[in-house]
Amino acid sequence: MHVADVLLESMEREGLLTVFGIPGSANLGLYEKIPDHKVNVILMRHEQGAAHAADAFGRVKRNVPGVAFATSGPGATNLVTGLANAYMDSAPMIAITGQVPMAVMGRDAFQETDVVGVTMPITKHSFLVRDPEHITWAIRAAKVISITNRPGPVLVDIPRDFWKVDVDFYWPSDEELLREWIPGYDPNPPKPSPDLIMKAAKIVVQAENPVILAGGGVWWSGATPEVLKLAEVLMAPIVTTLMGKNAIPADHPLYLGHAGMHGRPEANYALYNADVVIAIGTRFSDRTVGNFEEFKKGKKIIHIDIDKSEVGKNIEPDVGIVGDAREAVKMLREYIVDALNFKRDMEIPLIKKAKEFGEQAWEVLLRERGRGMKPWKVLKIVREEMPRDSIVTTGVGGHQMWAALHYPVYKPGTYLTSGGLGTMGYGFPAAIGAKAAAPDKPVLDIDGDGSFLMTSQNLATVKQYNLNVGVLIFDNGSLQLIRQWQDLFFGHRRVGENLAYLPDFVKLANSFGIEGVRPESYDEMRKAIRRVAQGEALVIDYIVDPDIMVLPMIAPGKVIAPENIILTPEQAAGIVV
Amino acid sequence: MEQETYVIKFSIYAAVDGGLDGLARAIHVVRKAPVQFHDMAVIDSGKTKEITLRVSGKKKDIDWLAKKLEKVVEVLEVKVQAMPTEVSLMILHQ
Ligand SMILES: Cc1ncc(C[n+]2csc(CCOP(=O)(O)OP(=O)(O)O)c2C)c(N)n1
Repeated sequence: MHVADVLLESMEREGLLTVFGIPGSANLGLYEKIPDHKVNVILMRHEQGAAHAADAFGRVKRNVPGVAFATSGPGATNLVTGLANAYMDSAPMIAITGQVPMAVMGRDAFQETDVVGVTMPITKHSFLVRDPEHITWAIRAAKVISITNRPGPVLVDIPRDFWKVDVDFYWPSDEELLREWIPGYDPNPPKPSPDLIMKAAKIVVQAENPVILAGGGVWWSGATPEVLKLAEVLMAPIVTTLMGKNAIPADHPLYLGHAGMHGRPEANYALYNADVVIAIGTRFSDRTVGNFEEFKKGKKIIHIDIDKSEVGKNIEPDVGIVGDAREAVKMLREYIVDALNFKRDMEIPLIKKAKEFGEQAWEVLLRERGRGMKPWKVLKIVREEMPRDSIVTTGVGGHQMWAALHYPVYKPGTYLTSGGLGTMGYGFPAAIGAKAAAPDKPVLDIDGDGSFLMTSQNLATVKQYNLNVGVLIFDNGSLQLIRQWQDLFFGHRRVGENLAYLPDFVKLANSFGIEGVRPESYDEMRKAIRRVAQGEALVIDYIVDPDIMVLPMIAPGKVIAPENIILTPEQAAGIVV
Repeated sequence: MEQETYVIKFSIYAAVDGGLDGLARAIHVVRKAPVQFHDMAVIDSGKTKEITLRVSGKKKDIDWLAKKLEKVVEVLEVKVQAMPTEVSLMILHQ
């Protein structure tokens, strides 16, 4: 069997049937064989988009990584941002790149890049396949590594002279694979230590104001029901990180919202004032707590994470539990309820205080300001019109923070945002990847004009494959979040934020054969969103005043204390970052 | 906190590709750790490469580095040993 067939057959066996990519001379031998297999290749218009689409596919499917194909050299290097993005957000994906022939490797052959070398620090693992017989092993290993434990991207680089080499198809068993190919990798999550769980349980039952901080790991481990049950036993609030927003249904009565730099005031209030924080599946990003030392003061931290190198990395916990979140949280609840006989009937007092604080803050935050339709009102319409299980993706910038603040997520796994890397351009190809993963769900990309421009060429892909997604562009003619930082913290010196000569987004969409609208009232906005909810591909150009700052905000480096929450631009005067 | 010198020993599985990629991956991890790098020895041991790494730093950071190294797919086993103070001072003063 030709190596190209072996690769495609391996992908079929592993259920890797959806690929996003662009062909080139180093993988044409592979493309040649695609018609003979069930693998479906979606042509993206830039490899960065292929990587983001594969990342989003994996985020939605969770146990099936998305796959990106690229040729050697520029094709492979164009994947780099997407791989780094998937790595930072622990999203499972596999990149399969063509490489120059073995015989010329290392000699600066045409379109040669050492992509394995380039991507080593931003992939969970990578293989340069040096022997045509190794293809099945590499694909099997790539799949298992990408989805197990803490998920992440894996790259497989294959010299182009292999494609037509004849080999016997050999399918290694799971056991053989682990023993002979990746003996250093254990696909099973570490078992949480019962002693540490008991220690944590004792701390939790003595706490007056425990707060649960849920991160993206809660989604990866499928721990949502366990986290909710734990909260219900403790009658304690759940706040999330930006990534954790994807894991907790916002209409749960104990949910207070996401915390962090642009977190909801009630969530930051609760997290900051907790006496015990139970952090689950989060790496304690600086964007979530602001300042590690100050955050830690006066509270005990229980940190549960599958990755032992995360425990104690940013914050030294009082109890660090390494293990799968679902299992560890279940054990913790059982110890609390069964061994320590503990269950609370009334909400902890901090919830009321946090909500009161939040109410006062929102009264200031939601005052009429700026011209035109207000972001929070538009997002309210979005939530009302989009079905509960629709998928929303975002770009990076002010619009992303508006969405985090005002778009409640009801179904876990339906909110895809670039949290760790903060990659402008993620939202639109991610929407395409999400649509390919969940064709029956409406998908909306909430994007910025700057972010959308970075990957908007993939409008052609939407049209070509009927991957109908909507795009709601916050068209403010500006890199608004940059402008906001410049106004607040850099002496009002607006440099390099003005997006002059933007295209007419309606015409841009039309030129790709896609409809576009520019709503002028909330009513028209509702009608447009409804079209997306009904499954139409539609670009919605939402003209928004660039001077409406996205608030609340906490200045970088400041802890998430209530007194540091900026509710009005004036409050930021004099802050040096 | 005291800076001390440690020896980190680990093996890299080398049966598939000779172990260079695993070694490069491990070096990437060491590069980003908040420790001072002194030296490294690599010994071929058939299916594995045995690495001895000498670094100085806070115990907490050294332990973190060891955990990060354990995550490298090719890495089989990681051991951390503190160096006797005299040897450690000698290295630091060199
Ligand atoms: C690829 C990339 N380049 C630069 C940045 C820095 N950055 C963060 S937010 C932002 C502005 C984003 O503008 P836009 O997408 O229009 O969103 P808005 O803030 O206007 O809502 C920039 C440039 C980034 N996050 N990603």
